[in-house]
Amino acid sequence: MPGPAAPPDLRARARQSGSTVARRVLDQPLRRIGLGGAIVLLAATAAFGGLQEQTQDGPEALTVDAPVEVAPFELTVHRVVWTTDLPGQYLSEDGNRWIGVVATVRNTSDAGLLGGTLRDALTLTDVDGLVKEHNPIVPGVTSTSIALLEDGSSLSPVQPGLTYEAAFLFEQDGSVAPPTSATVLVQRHTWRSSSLDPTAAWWDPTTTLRGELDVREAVSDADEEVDE
Amino acid sequence: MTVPEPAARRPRGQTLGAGAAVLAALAVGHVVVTAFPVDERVQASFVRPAVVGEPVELRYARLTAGEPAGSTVLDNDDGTLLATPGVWLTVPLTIEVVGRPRALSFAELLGGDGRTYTVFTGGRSWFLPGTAQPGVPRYATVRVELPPEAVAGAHLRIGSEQKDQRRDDVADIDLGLTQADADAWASDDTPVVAGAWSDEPPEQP
Repeated sequence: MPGPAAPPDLRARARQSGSTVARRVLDQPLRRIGLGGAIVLLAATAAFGGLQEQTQDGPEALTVDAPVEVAPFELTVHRVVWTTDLPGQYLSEDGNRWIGVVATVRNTSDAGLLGGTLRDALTLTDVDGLVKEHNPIVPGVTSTSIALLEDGSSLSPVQPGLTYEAAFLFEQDGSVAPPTSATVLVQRHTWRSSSLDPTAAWWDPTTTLRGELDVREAVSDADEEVDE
Repeated sequence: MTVPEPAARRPRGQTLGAGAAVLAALAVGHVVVTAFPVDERVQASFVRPAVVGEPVELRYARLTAGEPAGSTVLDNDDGTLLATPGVWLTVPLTIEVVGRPRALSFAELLGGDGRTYTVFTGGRSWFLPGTAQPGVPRYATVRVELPPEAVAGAHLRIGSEQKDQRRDDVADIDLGLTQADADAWASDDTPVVAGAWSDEPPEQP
């Protein structure tokens, strides 16, 4: 059986201190200390639900035109399109293109929210050539901007009780072919206090829905009239 | 060679007593904090009530709200128009700062429906009066979009710091709005103008 994990001088000091608990702990081998620590940790987490069965294995399937509740928003994703020209929106380089996720947005909380929370609520993945890089805090790539379809303005703040039609815009490198499909991730936030500040806010975007959607080229209203 | 004498062992009763005293102190502290939750009161803003047209004296400024206006279309006064799924509400403010140059940056609307409508220093719902000089009145307009059902009974709050209003003066202005105002604005697409701040008083219609 292996000997005690603690060095001899530490064990000697424990003996001199007269503490029976310290002496017995330091006389234990490392394996026993590790095992005991693991049992204590498991017991502590079990008291707060650590042994409860997980209710969800992973994100549910996202389907188009179906409203989903992802606190603090209700989102309805309608379609994913790409275009090279959007009035009022400026690409970082000529030749790039926009990939737009068109959605209906409602803030279901009791207070207005800035656009950053909405931006983290819907992200894109499995698309080559996105100009913006992955944010380590949010799954997927966040949009460059969120534009209102009605007037092209940036959707922020998002006020409660209003229903907005908007496009989450992601810039793609023009040297890469336009995608034929894209995976949309939808995140739910949690209302809690910050670790550093008692002020409560929406934190921890966690993916609850995921859907691989077809991407097609956007058709302008004028084109649609010609088609008709 | 001298062998150090073993440390005198503290009596077990004394050790247990000290531990019990620490636990008792923690328990008493917890009871006091939960029974007398004073944190929110200590940090609360000093809310200064006011009505439209009546100046309100704040620690850092004298503030007067003008008559609110509304529509379904907002004119930015820069050639662009903004639509809304609700209504736009604009409130002209006269800001006379006290003591030193100041840039007021906090505004929010407490809707008559109990919800809070965020106003930021950029974006659609907006308040950015810039730095005002003492002795020179600054004229600026708050603009905010909200559902028509939140208009009646709405209060506008104005403060100094956008991020933190704790332990500071905040004006709470009863805008005197009714459901009739909300109905009229919801059916009106004549743009309501909300331009940039100015040191010149706005033209009266």
